[in-house]
Amino acid sequence: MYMAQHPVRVLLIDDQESDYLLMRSMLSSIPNQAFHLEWASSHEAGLEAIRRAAPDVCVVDCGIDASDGLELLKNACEAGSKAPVILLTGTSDFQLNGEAIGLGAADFLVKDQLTAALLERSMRYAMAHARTLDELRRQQDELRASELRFRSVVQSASDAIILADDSARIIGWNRGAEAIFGYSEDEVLGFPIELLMPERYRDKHRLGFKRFRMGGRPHLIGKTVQLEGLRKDGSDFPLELSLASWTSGGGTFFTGILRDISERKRADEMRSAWEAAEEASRAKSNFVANMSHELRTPLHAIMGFTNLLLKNKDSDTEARDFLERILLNAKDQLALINNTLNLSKIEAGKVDVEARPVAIDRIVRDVVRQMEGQRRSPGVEIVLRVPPSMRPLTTDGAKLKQVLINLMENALKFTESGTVIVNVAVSPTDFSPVRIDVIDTGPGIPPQQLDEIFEPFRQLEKRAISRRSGTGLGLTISRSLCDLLGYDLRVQSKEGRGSTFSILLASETVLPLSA
Amino acid sequence: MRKIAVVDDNSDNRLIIRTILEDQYEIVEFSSGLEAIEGFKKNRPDVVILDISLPEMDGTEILRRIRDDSQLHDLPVIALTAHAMVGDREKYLSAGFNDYVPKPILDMNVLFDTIQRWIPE
Repeated sequence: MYMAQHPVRVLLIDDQESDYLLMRSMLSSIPNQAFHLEWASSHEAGLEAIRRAAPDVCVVDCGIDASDGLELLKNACEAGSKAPVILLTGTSDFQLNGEAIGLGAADFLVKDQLTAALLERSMRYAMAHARTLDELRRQQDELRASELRFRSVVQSASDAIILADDSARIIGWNRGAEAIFGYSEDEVLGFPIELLMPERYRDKHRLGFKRFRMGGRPHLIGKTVQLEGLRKDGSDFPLELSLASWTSGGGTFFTGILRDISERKRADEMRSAWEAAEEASRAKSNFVANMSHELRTPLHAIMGFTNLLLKNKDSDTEARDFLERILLNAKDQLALINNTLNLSKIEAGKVDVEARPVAIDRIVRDVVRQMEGQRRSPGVEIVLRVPPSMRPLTTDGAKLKQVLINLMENALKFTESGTVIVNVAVSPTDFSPVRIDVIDTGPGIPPQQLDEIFEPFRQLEKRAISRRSGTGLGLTISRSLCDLLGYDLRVQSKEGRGSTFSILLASETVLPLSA
Repeated sequence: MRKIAVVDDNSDNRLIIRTILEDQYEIVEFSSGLEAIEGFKKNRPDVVILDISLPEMDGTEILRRIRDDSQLHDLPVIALTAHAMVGDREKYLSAGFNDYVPKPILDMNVLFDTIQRWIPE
């Protein structure tokens, strides 16, 4: 017998005390099973007892008016009772019977034919049925909860998750898909998946799908591929698609997980553009280095043989003059090659800065000594103004010296008479050098041309220059070198009075230019 | 007479160096690295003047072989090269050349002075 350990709690809802007594005696006659019988003599009391006592089974007398019993059944169900209900009635009414079963009654017993065995069996089946129903309900709830969880995962994914049936129609569409494609769920459900493909993919898709339906292995299933998608606004975009198929209830379905990879593509493109630029830059500096070598090599022969001929004391005056002109022109050409290629190297960022503490006054003195020999006329005086002491400056001395040489060469080239002053200014507080000025008394530069003089090949005043005109790159290189060292190169000029070029070594320079 | 080896594949260049130096030094010419190293082993020069851009084996590689050779490792080697951009001097001195003279040679005295510095006492 079932549930032998516990008494079965039975609730009888019946207005007849005689029925209660009959029921009690029947239950007590059933062997091997204890029953606890509670009796409610009205529907209200019965409902209250159902709620309070949670009986294992209810036996409800329908009385004269069977609809009373049905009414109670309905109320009990609405009250959330899980207890199975067995209806008792005076007559065997098949219509009522059917109606009662439809409303959820577990059984329908005719009072006159009731026996203990019949009652026991009916209750046993009712309770087993109720347990089954309960279990089903629990499973359903679990399923529903699981589906809810699943739906929320699908919905909240930022990737597009799209389901399609075996006619390639869209049957599932998450918020990620909405965000990526721009269609709402309502706009796409039931539409062919082709809607999301640029025109050029559609024929291929149809063919592939046809092959799949004819039993062919779909080559996209289980793979991740890069394709393009078509947004609602008509634009296409690169996407990555992982496609899976599954069967359910005899049908085949497809799940596509799609990711918009525009950003990744853009990053890839930028990286390849960067690599191409790097490669181009490398190729360019290789080209420049080769060019330098190839231009110098024949010049080496020209200058070498010219020098050797000049050493020959037998050459006549005219021949010597011509040889010297060849040599001077070759030197000009060499300077042009050096400057052009070095400028190109500096501007390509291929020149390293090697900074260490440097005595600026020593550099300036070295340059002045070197320049003494380049004065155009003995009438030009080079004046050096250097404070008695200064702190070393951490810089690339060789490059700073190159700038200073270029500025001095220019100053001496343009000054026919007067002075070229080299002035080093130091900070009044810590005696660190803050500025180097090269001041000449040459013809000066017209104000409108002050900006142009740093441009390549923009040499001014060609008429006033001796035949050793230089390359027209000195100031361009000087400014590039200053940029490299982090210095500002400035010019001030007054026509007819002269020019001042200043290398600003420190940003805190506040001292006025002294001329 | 001290012996100077000139390694350069360009015969014009070899002729120039020979003409400049031959009054004061004995000149041996080589047009390739392998030939030069063989020659140095047979008849050790006092100073080597080595071009950089040579076919087959370039000057830096020739220098490396000289420095790796137990007989030749302490040979004074002067780079004479048209690789003369900013930074090239530092590059070749760091590579182990004893000295560096850029092409074209502006002043022959530079070449004499440089050789003089490396001629053993």
